[in-house]
Amino acid sequence: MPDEQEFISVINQHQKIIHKVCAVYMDTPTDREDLFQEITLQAWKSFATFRGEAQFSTWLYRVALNTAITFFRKEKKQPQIFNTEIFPELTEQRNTDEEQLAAMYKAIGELSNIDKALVMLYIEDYSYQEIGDMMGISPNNVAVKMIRIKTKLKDAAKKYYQF
Amino acid sequence: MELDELKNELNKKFAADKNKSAADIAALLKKQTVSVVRKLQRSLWFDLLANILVLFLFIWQGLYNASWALRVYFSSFIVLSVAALIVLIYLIRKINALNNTILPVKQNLESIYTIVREYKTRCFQLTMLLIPFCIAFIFVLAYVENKSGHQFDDLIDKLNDRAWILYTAIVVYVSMITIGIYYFTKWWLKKLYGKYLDQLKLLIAELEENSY
Repeated sequence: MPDEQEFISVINQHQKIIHKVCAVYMDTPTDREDLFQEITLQAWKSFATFRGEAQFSTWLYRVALNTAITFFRKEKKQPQIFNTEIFPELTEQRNTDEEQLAAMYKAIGELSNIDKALVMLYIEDYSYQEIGDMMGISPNNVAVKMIRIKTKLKDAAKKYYQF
Repeated sequence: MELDELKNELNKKFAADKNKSAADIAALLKKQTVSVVRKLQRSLWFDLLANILVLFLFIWQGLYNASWALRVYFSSFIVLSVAALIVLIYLIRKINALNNTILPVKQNLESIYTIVREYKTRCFQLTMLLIPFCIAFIFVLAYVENKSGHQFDDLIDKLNDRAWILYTAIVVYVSMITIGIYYFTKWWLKKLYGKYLDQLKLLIAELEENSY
């Protein structure tokens, strides 16, 4: 039986990873809370198998993405809502940088679950080799997908932000 | 506006949710998961418990039923129930092992897909296999029982010159049971696992896709 205190301590240190995955995959605070719980429980169940061969953050990313991708909700997907918690500035005054960020954020929200995972790992600065290892695909495949995703995001973000 | 230009800012924004305390995290560990694998585990445990209950019923009927034919019928199902129990225990262990191992995303999706699909296919095949088996078995046992006890002689005598009524009734009954069970089983398994399998299949196909 793994040590619960040790687990809580490492999760506490790395919880930003789980928050990021929840923010990318879920629109509402309730859904994000549910996913956070699911990822934490899944990580706890699998913690005994973590042998320190990889960094804990990489291992946690793998757990979090596996869980998020297969976290199918019963109810129909709600329409994408604007997240005022993540972008509070936009509700008060217009800010160009924030608007660009918000547009990109919305565009990422429209991606498929697999593409969201790739974007997450990409913005965390993982190499294509590392992303490939986590996703179970070749680095070449990651590269091809990233080119396609970047184009898709550029086009989608234009819908939300006019230069 | 490119993804690379906003990379660092996005990374910060995604981590904007308020941090949880160690006590909050500890409280989360007391809850239950709601994943696909967990759903399958619950289904398997339900099947296992139902199987154990049915096994006791078969043992009781096999020992105490007044009819010799039904004693034989239920006793033979004890063997089938025990076999089903072994398969269910094997599947639960396999699912538990999968649930505690962190595989790369694609491999994880393929493993869940294979197990759920296998379970769905085998459930369907076993149900379909049992229909002709049960029907044939009950007729053989009824025939053997009648030879020794002559319980059905009166009915056969009454229908003697209109045997076609009996045969038609048997054919209609067997057909309706077979068709009913076929469609019900198909609908039930699709309702339970069809949507998950379709979603998993789409995700795997998307990961395998390698073109612009």
